[in-house]
Amino acid sequence: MEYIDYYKILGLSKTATTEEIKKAYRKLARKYHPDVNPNDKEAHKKFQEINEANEVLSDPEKRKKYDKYGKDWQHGEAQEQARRSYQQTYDFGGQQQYGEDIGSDRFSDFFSSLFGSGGRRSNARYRGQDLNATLQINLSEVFTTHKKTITINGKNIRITIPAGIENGQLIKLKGYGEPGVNGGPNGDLYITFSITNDTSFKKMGNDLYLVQEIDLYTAILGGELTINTMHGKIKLKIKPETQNNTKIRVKGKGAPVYKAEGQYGDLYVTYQVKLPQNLTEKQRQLFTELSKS
Amino acid sequence: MAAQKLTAVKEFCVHHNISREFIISLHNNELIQLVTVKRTMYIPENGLQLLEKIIRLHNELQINIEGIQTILHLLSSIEKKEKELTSLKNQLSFYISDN
Repeated sequence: MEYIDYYKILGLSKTATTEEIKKAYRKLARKYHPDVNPNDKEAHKKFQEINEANEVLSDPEKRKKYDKYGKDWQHGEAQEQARRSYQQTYDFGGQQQYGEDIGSDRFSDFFSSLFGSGGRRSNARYRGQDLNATLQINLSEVFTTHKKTITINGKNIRITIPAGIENGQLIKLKGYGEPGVNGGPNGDLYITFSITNDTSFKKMGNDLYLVQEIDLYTAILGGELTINTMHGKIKLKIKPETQNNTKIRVKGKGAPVYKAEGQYGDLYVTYQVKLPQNLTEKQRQLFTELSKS
Repeated sequence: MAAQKLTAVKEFCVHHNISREFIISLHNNELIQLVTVKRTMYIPENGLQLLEKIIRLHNELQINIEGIQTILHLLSSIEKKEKELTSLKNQLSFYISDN
């Protein structure tokens, strides 16, 4: 546990006036408030730090104690503990317990050591901290709406993953963050989806792309081909004299459109003509003949 | 028409310790929408989250209505840009993984 320089956090000198502390706190709070920095973990952490600094420096008694013990807080802690245990017996038994119940993790260990876990002013309502999580799913899972149970801070949460979710997309689960303090609302849970491609398709928006090999003879003479799509097997008709890298569109066989049930993107199939290898003598002769015609 | 859950403005103000006038001025500035039923004003359920955010900005950061309007506008614009960035990143990865 390290000493925390509250003056440095608020960008103030040790001689700062109450008005200067208030002004510095407001300025930084506006910059780092969770509501103006959604999904920014660093800003949330910074906001907690400036809140803690303000909690101490804006309270004359706490400031006096902080200034007195300062870097020598460990020594101060021992003295304070002795004093607290004496007072607790007579005055603060219930209050101390209450203090421990209400989100002491909002404040640093340093703060708790110096002021006790009930050290902060108890009437303020705080919104619980937002939580961020990344959920890894496979591309094949994106094609249907399904439920998944995730564990956040030891708590199981069952979430519905809508079909068509995009890589990097963020969804917010209201009230699934840290609990609020003193009747404040719970924070929110933000889940970022990271999608791994476990298919032979490539996805861009709602469309899927597939490279399909066809043999030379089918490319020249035409024919039929059965391919697997995310919607099952489909038959494709290949026109005679199909060129290499010909791209065809299969309407409605792409990925589902996010939150638009029954709507799908398209599937684009690129034909890659595979040339025959290891030709027999007869085949070679036939190709030679063909080249002369 | 689906039934809408409503919270009375009066009840909301008591719970959040905020003046009724402030809520009305948010409505007048088109930051929130209120519904009037038999002369009583209500907040629709889908507007509660935004209203609570506005109140936090007002109470915790001392931001006036004009400032809140600007913040909400900028946040919405950031959100749009972030979505655009995600989409562009996904498009880019489509081409990068080709090589």
